[in-house]
Amino acid sequence: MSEGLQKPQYLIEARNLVRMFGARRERVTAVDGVSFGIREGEVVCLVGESGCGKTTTGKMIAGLLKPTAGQVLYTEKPVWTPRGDRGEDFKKFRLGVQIIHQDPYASLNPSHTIYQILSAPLLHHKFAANTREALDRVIELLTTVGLSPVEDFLYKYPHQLSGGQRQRVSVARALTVNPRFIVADEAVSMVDVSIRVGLLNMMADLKRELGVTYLFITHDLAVAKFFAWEGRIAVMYVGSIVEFASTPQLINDPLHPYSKALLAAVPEADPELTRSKQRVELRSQDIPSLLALPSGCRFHPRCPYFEPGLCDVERPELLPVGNNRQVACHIAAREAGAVS
Amino acid sequence: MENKVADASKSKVPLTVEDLWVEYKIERGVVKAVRGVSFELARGESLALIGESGCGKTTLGVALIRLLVKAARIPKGEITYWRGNQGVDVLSLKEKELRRFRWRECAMVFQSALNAFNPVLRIWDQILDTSKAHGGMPRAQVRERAMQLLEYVQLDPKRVIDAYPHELSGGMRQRVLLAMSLLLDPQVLILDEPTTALDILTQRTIIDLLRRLKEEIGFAMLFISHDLATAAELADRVATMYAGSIVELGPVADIFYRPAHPYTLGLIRAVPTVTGEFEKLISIPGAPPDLVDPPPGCKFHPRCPYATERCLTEEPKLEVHYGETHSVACFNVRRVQEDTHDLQERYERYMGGKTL
Repeated sequence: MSEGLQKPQYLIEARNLVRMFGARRERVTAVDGVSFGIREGEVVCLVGESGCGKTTTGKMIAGLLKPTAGQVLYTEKPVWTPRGDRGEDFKKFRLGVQIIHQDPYASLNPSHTIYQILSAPLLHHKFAANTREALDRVIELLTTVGLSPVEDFLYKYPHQLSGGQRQRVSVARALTVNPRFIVADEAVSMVDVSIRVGLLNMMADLKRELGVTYLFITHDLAVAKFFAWEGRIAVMYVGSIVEFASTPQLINDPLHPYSKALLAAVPEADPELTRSKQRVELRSQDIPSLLALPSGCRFHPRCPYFEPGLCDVERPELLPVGNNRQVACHIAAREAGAVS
Repeated sequence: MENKVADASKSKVPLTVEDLWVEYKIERGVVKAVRGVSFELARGESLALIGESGCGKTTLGVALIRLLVKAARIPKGEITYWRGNQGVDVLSLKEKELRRFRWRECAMVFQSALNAFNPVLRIWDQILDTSKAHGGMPRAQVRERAMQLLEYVQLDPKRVIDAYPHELSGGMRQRVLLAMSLLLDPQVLILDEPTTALDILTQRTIIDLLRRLKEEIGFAMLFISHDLATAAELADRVATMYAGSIVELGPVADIFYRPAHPYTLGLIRAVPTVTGEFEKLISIPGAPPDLVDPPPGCKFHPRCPYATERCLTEEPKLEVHYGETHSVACFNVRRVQEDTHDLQERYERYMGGKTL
């Protein structure tokens, strides 16, 4: 990994991110040593089950949560000072990285019109000199996110819009400050099936037309596959990334036993396909509590590959196994011939 | 109706619904949440009711056990529960009989397993309450039955029965709910979004459990879901609901591989599968209609690429299309089906697999 000296290699990079919550005996480590880099124009999906730390990771990437340890780098510059204060380019980072939240019913101010919601950041950050310019820009943004005719939406309140339309407003709001990077946290999960594809296609268009880079967080593997087919998927389990690979590789040839179990378990919207799937039998159904984490590999109590004396003792690192993919599993890495 | 009675007793249909309408009164007017729904539920079958939020699927489920909120009204329709070949008119049941009907004959598992329990009562107390409320058995017998059922849903009965709801994970709570619904041996089980809030691996255990329940206990199962994948997994038959009506009803393979309603086809084209190659998806334009003031004619016409003049004024009825089992409410079935040739191969593969 020594190429890319002239050009910033990563637009955004997570280095050994750790985030703890609570204090003393109740202290839990929600994210425990997550590292990855995302190149400009790339789409990376973070998938995992609830409580795996994917949202916490997303919030740290967007600067909404300060890491307990580790560093976020934006255009190769650290976001936090060694003392944990905001770095000098914090404002630039904040404008450059925007987040779209899951719940479009909670993330828009109910007492503001769509125009107010969208013009506030434009005026505040001087992307528009006056209200006239702001209005022009708002109209442009609403068109970009497919809310037309624009007049139907400008002076409406969020409650007058459907979930899908609200989520489009959330995207438009993220775009007000011309971000280079968008963290989309379960951005389509609360939207009905018939609306979802339109929303995903619109977000994919932004990537092509405006060059937006995405960290797309979802629990839905089908959505991850569709949105990040040309990108990569990182699978998280109990606070860390267990596998990271290009989307087609991960979907069709997963290496980590947890990824395998997920893909084997996920129901498919096709009776033939879903009823003929080979299942992966787990040794236990219980997801470990963050207050009592298993020793060694966190997946070992459930893992079908479990090797006593290895997996329950030594925690596997996320290691490259060739083909531009990484896996954190002693057995999978051994089989793939990893160099440790 | 005469021959229906005969049919019902012969084919062991425990539940029939005939032209059911449900309305809610709200400030703006009247929401027609369920509009003229008819179907039969046979013993041993699972029928999936799929549709998006606001299509009336939960209202329909709740109406079947008469648990509608006060603002709701059933202006028209019939729900008949068959005890052997004696039909019970569910809509005219009095409170006391209703209690016997609910849970002992027709149980419902609600959407949110997290909120379905009383947080300050142990599981055992809730089970006992359920049994008492619906005229159950002696205490010792309830306990024994409860332990059996908890074991049946793959829980450790000793650990679970004296636990408080918060001590159990979402998947465990969902399994306790299932066990509770089986307590009084119902003939009909209604499941509202049984796997929606669960993680993939937990979802899998619930799906496998439901399949086993269906095969081993053989009651009639109606499950309500917005998720096509759950329907593809569990359903024998699928009903697609749009704007309060069933617009298509048929065997699972027909619905997924030979859809005849533009909305069903739209849903199928909008949902990606996980495994396999990339597929282009097509979104359905527009949004579901306002049920206070729905469009005239076919309720789907403003979003439908196949709509013709006729669809703007006349609402199509659910009519038999293929054989006797597949019905659809659309004037343009032929044109819709011309666009489903690519799915035909999968239909044959599925049917081939079935006969082997």
